[in-house]
Amino acid sequence: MAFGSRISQVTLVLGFLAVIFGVPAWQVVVEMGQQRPVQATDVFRDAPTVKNLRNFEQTLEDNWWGQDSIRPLMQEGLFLSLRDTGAKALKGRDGWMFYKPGVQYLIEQDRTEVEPSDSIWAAPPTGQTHRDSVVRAIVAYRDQLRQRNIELLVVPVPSKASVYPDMLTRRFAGHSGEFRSPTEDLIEELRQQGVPVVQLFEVFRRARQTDSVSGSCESYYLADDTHWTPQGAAVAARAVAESLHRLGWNSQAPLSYTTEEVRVWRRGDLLDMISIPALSERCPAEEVHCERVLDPLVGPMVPQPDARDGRFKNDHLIDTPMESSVLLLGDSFSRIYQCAEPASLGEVVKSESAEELDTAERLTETDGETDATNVLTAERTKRMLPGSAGFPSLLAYELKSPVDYVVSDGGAATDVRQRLSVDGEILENKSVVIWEFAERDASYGKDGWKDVPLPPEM
Amino acid sequence: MVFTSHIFIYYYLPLLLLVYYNLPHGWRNAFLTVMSYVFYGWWNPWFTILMLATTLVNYWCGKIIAARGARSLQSRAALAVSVIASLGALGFFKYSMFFTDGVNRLLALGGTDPLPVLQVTLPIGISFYTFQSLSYTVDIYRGDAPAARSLVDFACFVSMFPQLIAGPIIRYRTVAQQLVYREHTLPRFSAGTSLFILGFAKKILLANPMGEVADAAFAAAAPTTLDAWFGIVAYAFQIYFDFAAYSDMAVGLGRMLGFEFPKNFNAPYLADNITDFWRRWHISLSTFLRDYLYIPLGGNRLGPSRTYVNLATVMVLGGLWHGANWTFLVWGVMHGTLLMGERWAGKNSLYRTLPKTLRIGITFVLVLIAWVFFRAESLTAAGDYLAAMFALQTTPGSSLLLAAELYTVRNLAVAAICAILTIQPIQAFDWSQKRLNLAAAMFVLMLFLLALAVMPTQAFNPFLYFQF
Repeated sequence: MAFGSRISQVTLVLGFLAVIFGVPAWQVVVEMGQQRPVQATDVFRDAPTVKNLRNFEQTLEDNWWGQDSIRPLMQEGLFLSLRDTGAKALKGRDGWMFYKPGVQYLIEQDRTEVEPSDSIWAAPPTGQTHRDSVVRAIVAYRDQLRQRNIELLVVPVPSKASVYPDMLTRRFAGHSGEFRSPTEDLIEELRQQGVPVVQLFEVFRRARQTDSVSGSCESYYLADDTHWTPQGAAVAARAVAESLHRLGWNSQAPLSYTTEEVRVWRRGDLLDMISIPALSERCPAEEVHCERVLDPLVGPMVPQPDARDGRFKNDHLIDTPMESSVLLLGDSFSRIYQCAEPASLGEVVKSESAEELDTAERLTETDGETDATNVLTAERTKRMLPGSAGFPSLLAYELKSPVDYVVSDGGAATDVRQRLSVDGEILENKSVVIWEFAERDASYGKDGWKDVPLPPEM
Repeated sequence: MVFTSHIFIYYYLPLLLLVYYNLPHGWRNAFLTVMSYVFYGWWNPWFTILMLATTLVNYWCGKIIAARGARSLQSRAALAVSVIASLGALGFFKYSMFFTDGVNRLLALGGTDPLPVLQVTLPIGISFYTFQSLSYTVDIYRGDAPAARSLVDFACFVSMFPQLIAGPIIRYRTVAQQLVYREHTLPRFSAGTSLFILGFAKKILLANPMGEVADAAFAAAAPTTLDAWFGIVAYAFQIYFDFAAYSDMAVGLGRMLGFEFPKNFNAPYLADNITDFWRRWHISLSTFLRDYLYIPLGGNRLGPSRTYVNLATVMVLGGLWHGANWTFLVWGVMHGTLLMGERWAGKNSLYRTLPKTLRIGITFVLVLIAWVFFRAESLTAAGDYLAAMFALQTTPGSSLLLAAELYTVRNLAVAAICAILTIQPIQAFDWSQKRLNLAAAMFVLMLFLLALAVMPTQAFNPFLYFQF
């Protein structure tokens, strides 16, 4: 076998061996330098089961020294050279970004569910699709609530691509109104089963049509985020409130809420997901105009700092004899602008009104010393900004009555109901449950669409 | 374990090479066998029991055949045991669920309740090592190869990790001599390194991105005609660059360990007819089917009618070998029909008078249409996809969004590179055997570094042929 000059052979082989031996050797040096046990030897510690082997392999891959340096560098290189935004995002027009699973949900067919089974004998497939299981879970929940004289109103939230298909691809330029989401078929099915559903797709279509006629350039979704703008949340809140009025399900004595305008500047969650520094630098923080809803007695309706994560009872409800008859179950669409957001939900980089931000900054600058508690409080305050300007408060404003809410980011399919199922107190005196979920959850819902019981009656 | 994984590149391979080259020659096959079992057991340690059982049965059958002489009763019985045990295991693990599903369909027609389905996990690579070990007893029975010198040598042949999971299918007679003696030289090692790196880069830089395009197009409810064609072309690139990459890496690793495995691909999309395609695509499978099925059935020696039947039989079984699904059966039938048609038309057909470029184009389109069945999850899905390709269905609005996922700068750039590489008559296998200058060596190393850097940015993406 004639294969080149000896020098080229030696160069190739030595280069290859240097890489495949050098990386693990340096890993050992790093681990020993940090006085950690050599990770590669972990394989001998546990029994060689499939699970242990996968865990070992994953840990090895996640913890190697190049993971935090080479990967972002390559992602940046791929973006700069090929405009590749990775597995989670799609680049749209005019700098808009879209969440890839949200788009895939709209494109893909409704797939048959595969029932996981621990038995070696599997039951024959039922042929039930994702959409079937959504309908079944919602109808079952509606029936449970009815037994307690509580009504259910379902609110599927359109993904950004459903409202702005023209910002994703030129194929819809000029006729985005022709776009029809598969969720609209789901809504039809639910209505046929007697479940009241708010059709936000039509609401946003009309809103955009009206804007185009009037020349308004209102945007209902953030450009580099998966979520709606405060204006989008307000349009949805108005539509939900109208539905409740129409159904005669809002019978509380009206409260006179007021609003104040607050501007914040946000970096979208999609930038965080794709982790490409060059892209983050190119995308300036987006200016967002919020309407903060103020309660006549307590001002902004934000939860107490010690409120348990994901479950909030509005402050004023605790201080007044007024109880809310409406409970909102939702996901990050209900959390954004409203209450403390996790870092994965985007970032508020600046707030106009905010004495809170000043307070937060003051807290972190105590004589140059860093107080851990202060930093935590400051961080939390920042993440809540502007607070009381999200879907729950806007809905309360439209209803003129308070709204309790339980939120679970990405968990509106099952997790939020599971949270509710262990807390009977929050369902007390409720006459309506509003169930908000992102439309992509119909296929990609975390934990699927399980049957979840209501909490025991108090 | 996957070749394109962190653990293989940075732990398994260095450890293997370090120990292998420091062992005396006599120990190397045993060490290679142990490491191959580790490689295989990494997916599921229980799978190694089946491979060990297959190895033992075929080894002892081979021993009996060699000892008793080819035509003795005991030899025939031993061959029968070998065939039944190997194909029985393959049949049970690969086709029992398919069979139960077929029975349930029949029961449903008669209004009877379906049977519960036994959940059988398909041991990875079973189709490949079953064929390989079967070739051993058949070769000895035919007198084409000597019996293995020892159980270790035979176990090394069956379990040899480079080509264990996805080929090329190595016949015993090809490596019998190499198991006894093989040369470990710098030129061979560097040729292996070069081919391994080229395969590695093809998989990471070309096959995986094309796979994302194909997955998106096939998952769509109703792609447009343009999207459907782009999707199937992407799949054609994916399966070629994925499978050929695996073969390149396998042959490359074999060379690093002193073995020489045969070529498995030869610019298949440059074929100008389907017969030619099968001379270029998965060569080790088509020669295996030719030598162990087509020729024993009579080949083309028993008249035209029998030749057509033999061709159809081979292609249908070849299709089913790829997977227990009606889609593979139809894929095999399609190829079988095209092969029969070409044989019937003969060498002086009108088709042969067309310009070669046109013939290549027509063959490529026919291969693409057949790939639809190979890729689709069901016959219904394949029908829907073909309908989209030929504009026979209306496109719902939401599917138009697919454009945003398909026509990105990255996907178009990778597709263009794939197209350029596909039409090169010299492929990686041949290139790696040519003289290598310093610039080419540096280029190959740079390619390796690039592919290694891109690897962590991709989601887990095993080779396509692992499922077969």
